[in-house]
Amino acid sequence: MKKSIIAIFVIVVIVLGLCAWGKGVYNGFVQHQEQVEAAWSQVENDYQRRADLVPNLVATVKGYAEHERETLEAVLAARASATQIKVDADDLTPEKLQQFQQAQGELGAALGRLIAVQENYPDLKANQNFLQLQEQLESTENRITVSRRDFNAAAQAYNTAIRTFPQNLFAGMFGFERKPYFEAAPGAQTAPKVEF
Amino acid sequence: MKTMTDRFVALWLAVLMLATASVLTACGNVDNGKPVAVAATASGLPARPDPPRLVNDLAGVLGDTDAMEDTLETLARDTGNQIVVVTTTDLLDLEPWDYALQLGRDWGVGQKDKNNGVVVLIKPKTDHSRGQAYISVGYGLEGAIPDAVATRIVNSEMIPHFKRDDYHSGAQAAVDVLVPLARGEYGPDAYTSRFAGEEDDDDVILAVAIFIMIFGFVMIFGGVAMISDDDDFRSGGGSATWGGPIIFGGGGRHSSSSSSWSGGSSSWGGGGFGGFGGGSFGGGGGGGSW
Repeated sequence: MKKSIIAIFVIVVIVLGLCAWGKGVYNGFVQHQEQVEAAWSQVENDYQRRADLVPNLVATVKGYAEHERETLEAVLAARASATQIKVDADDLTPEKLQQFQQAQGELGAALGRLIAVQENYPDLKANQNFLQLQEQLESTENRITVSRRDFNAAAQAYNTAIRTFPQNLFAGMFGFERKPYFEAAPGAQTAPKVEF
Repeated sequence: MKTMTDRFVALWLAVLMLATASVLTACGNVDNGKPVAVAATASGLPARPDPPRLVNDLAGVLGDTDAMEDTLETLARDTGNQIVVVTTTDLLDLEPWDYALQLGRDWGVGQKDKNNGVVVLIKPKTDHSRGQAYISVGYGLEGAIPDAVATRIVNSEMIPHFKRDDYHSGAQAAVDVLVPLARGEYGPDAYTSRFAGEEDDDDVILAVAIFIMIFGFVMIFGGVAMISDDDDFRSGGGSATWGGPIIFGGGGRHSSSSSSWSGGSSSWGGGGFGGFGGGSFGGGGGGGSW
């Protein structure tokens, strides 16, 4: 009798201990997850900031370079498809991130070609408005680089947390899944470099 | 005999429980540690200055920086906005914006909850490399100092001096614009339009001269009137020379008679500004090269 009471007591203590530990681990995961989400929303903000520059940029270039219809239309099309892809932070699968990245990469490349157009149009090149938009585009690309880097760092911290033994046992139980990273794709991801 | 067994079992259980508890605690400590600050920092960045300083002439091109340091420390004490001026000979193969950003994050320039730091980075020109300058603006000051303004400050205030190898004047010129912007004394648009106005210099100079003459008269007569009205004013403001210098002397404006800056003067001379606060940067700012 006495022994079984002691045994029950021990089990209760162990279960309580596991609960306390599990709670700590779980909350740690949540904190990591929130950092990933914050980093992701910054990524989206910065890409949105770039998308917002497009209409002005296209309008300015149009005024000087009527013949570049194709380039201009390509930018608008790329913007349309890039802004269509919205990814929720808690639904960040590798496929979705890749789609997002590809669409944004295409917009980046199209913008690069649009900026390059200035070489054929000296008036455009000297236009104050165009210069300013170009500066804004450049610093927006910097912001994007930073927020992507931050996102990767946050995702890495999160992934490390959920995959380290022994708390990885909890991660599966509570449905914490690995977050994907941004990957540097050659060409598409490099910011359009603007030389003055 | 029976009591001995019971005691043995109890002891054994106690040990087991202790062991379990300590293992669990250990696991918990390892696992649920708070997420570490997210940082991807290049190695080789200069260490945060200790004691903290806002002007860090690591390239040794600025000469005497005490006045600049005082100006920036006063700003930091009054408003919390921290503007750091850094010169370096080595950008560690980073682009200037990235170097300024990483340094700002690494040092924690600005306050943590406000991210109100600015890094003014200067990489002097050498025989082999271009000069680079960049102003990186923390999230919290992007409204007061937008990218276009940062770019303009670098290209119009700093680089003309740098081209003459006068790094001190270039840095000072940047500080002279950044400080009032950070204080909100004038907005970025006012700075931009002031710049635009410089294109026809003669008109501006004439306008300024007329303005100063009229304003000076008003002030002088106003000052005389005030002195005769109220003797205390004189002892508070410019005691040696009355009236005029209050506006003409650049250093004398907002002296102790003015209430708007009163916060800073009381702690003046205390040294330091409380250290860097852990502010972050997001890639805002602007720069140029020569």
